[in-house]
Amino acid sequence: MLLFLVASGLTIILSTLRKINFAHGSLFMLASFFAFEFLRLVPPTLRSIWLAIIVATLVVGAVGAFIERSLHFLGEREKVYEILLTYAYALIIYEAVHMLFGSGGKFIKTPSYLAGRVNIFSTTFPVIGFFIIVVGVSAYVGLWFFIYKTRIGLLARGISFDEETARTLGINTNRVFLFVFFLGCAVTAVGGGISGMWIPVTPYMWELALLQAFCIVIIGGIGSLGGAFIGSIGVGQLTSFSIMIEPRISMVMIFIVTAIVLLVRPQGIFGREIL
Amino acid sequence: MVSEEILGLEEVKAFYNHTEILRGITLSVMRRESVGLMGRIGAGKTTTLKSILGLLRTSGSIKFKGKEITRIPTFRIANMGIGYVPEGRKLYGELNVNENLEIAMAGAHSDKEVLSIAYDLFPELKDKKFNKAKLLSGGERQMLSIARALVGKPELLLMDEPYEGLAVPIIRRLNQSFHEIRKGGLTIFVTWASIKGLESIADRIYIIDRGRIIFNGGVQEGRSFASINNLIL
Amino acid sequence: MKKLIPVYLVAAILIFTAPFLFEHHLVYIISLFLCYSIFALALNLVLGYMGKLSFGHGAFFGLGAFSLAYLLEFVPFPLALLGSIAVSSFFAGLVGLVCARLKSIYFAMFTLAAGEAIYFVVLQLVSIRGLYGLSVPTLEPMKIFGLKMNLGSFNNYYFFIVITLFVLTWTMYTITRSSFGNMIKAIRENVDRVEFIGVNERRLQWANFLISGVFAGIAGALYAPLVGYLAPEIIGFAGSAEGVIMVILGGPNTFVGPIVGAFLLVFIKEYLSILTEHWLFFLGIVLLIIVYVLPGGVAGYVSDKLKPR
Repeated sequence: MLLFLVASGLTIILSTLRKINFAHGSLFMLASFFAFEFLRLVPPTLRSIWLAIIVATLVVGAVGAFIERSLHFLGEREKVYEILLTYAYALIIYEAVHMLFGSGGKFIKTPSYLAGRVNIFSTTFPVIGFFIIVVGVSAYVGLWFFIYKTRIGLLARGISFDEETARTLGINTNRVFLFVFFLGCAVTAVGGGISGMWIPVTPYMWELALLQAFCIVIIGGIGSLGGAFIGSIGVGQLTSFSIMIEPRISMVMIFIVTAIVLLVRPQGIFGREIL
Repeated sequence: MVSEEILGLEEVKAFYNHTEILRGITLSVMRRESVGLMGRIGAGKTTTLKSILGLLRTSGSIKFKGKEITRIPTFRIANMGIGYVPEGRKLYGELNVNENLEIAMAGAHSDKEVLSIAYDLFPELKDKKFNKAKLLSGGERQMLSIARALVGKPELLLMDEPYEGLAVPIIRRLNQSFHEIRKGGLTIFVTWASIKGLESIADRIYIIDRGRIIFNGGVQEGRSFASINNLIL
Repeated sequence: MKKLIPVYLVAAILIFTAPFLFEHHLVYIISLFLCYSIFALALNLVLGYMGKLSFGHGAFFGLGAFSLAYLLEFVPFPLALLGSIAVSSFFAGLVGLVCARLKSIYFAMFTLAAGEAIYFVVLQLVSIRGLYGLSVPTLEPMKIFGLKMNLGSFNNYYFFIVITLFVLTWTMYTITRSSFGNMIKAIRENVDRVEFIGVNERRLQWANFLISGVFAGIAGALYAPLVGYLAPEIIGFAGSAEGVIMVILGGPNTFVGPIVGAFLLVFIKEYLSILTEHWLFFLGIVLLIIVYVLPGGVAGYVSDKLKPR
């Protein structure tokens, strides 16, 4: 479910703006760190996990906006340079975090009302897991609503089809780009902030997050939010499944599936846009 | 009533990467006029329109309503009162008729009543409101493209090969609509590859060849000029 | 680029005489640079000349290295070298077969996925032995064509590498200048047109990818005895990305660009990591600057400057 938050942010940006962000995983990691440090450094009165998440989201969203601006500044270059530029950012963010905050490796304390486990179908299940699922699903609903039911969502969709014509209609496409990028990063940041309660916060997270998100987007389909959703569930299940059967190849499975999808149906299971 | 110049191009050159397409275009359109731009394929018609909209790198001067618009971003030019019906219509195929219009409305910051005006002008579209644009017929698509451009209540309408691929009855239908719109004070600047189509709609025409204007005058004279100079179209 | 011939000569002389001129560690760095430049050149066959970004080339380099290290336990060096070439060829052929027809972004994704998959597999295989990496057995003295060679000695191995790599470089240069090379460049421009000429562009792409993978594998194989201990990271995204960085730093549009890039990366890595543990940060910044200011890479910039106005 966490993966969905990352993947959905990515798919929005990728399909709407056609920009590839190799720093997306880094934003996830950054948000996670930020939330952690926020809680650590802030006086007890403000020490609320929710506040931390909100602040982390805003900050990381701003970073994302900065990245978008700089991508724009790049102008009309081949896609390769987008990848390189955002990869450069990923490196910078990674090392910066490493420098400033060390190697992390700790969890964020779960507030008491979310801690503990719950009995369902004769197995115990951590409440926080539930919470993450709830957040993930509501993110999906929220994003879906945004894309299909709001005016900006409509504009974004139109721009993703034909940007030039949109400009001739009087639409400030730059602003829409910025907004969508921010939104995509913000969603991921929320995931990052929450993730600290589920997995340890480390600077190395970014690579895995990025790779898995890309795989999910490819498998689920570029341009499809539902695809990203189902893709994340699928990937999550696949990983846990293969861990049970043969733990050593669990990581490889994702890549193999991705490779197969790329071969058989490059636009993904639900994908509509062909880059 | 003194007619003012609504669109003025002076020595406009335009480039695609490093290739010069327009080699110094000078032309002028007065308010309420309907001016045609005729030329062969590749002569520079679409490039001229795109230059006006700021979609290409240009040098020279382009003035709209007296203001220099060469350095202004496209969306702002559109909001200043220029509507654009692009070659090939460039509709949002996956979206339905209403949505296509709504996108235009968002861009033009116009209110809902524009929708009803559009549907009055093109009643054929009304029934197909929720059909995806890609399912429309050629004529309906053109109507939608025009309606979309009109949403912002422009003062100048740029149309690029509006009759392309359309049958004669539909062309006549469209021309009717153009006359309607012109009554409301709209200025039209339209491109086409032959003089024939422009007769019914243009007051006068320019002829462009290989990036330069080679004729400016009435439609009939343009016709003779074209045949004299063997501009087979 | 004729004007630069004196520069090339000087560089070549320096490289050949390095063990006599410089102290050991520097020579070691130079030898690393040599291996990496072959790797970068190989990658550039796909990236610069064919125009497709491969994020999985580290896998071929790594496969060459690891298979050599593994085989050395059983067979003498020449056989092991051949074996490792076979391994990297096999995988390059396999991967290339699949992705020859993919478009740029999907190509990048697929090579990334493939590289990572190979990485994980090798990681598992290697950790069976309980170790994190793979140590490379030292090379025994041996007889080739009646000549006694002891490649276990560093200096001897260095000369071996230098000669082999010059040969390889020269081979690749010839390839790029051949009609095959021109076809590849044509593919970068416009794939469809190439097909219209009647050329089976997929096969061309596959062949190019295969060649590229083989050379990368050889580079890896030669690299292995140099470092003595192989970390699996070189196979995965990290290693592949380093390759891409090298090509971009130097410039994908010239032949020597990747060599320059490899040189820059190796030396930056070496000297920056002495200064700070967090040299990746500065690498990122350098990369940023290159993307914005010098899109053709350093070599591209220089070659532009040298062009007659």
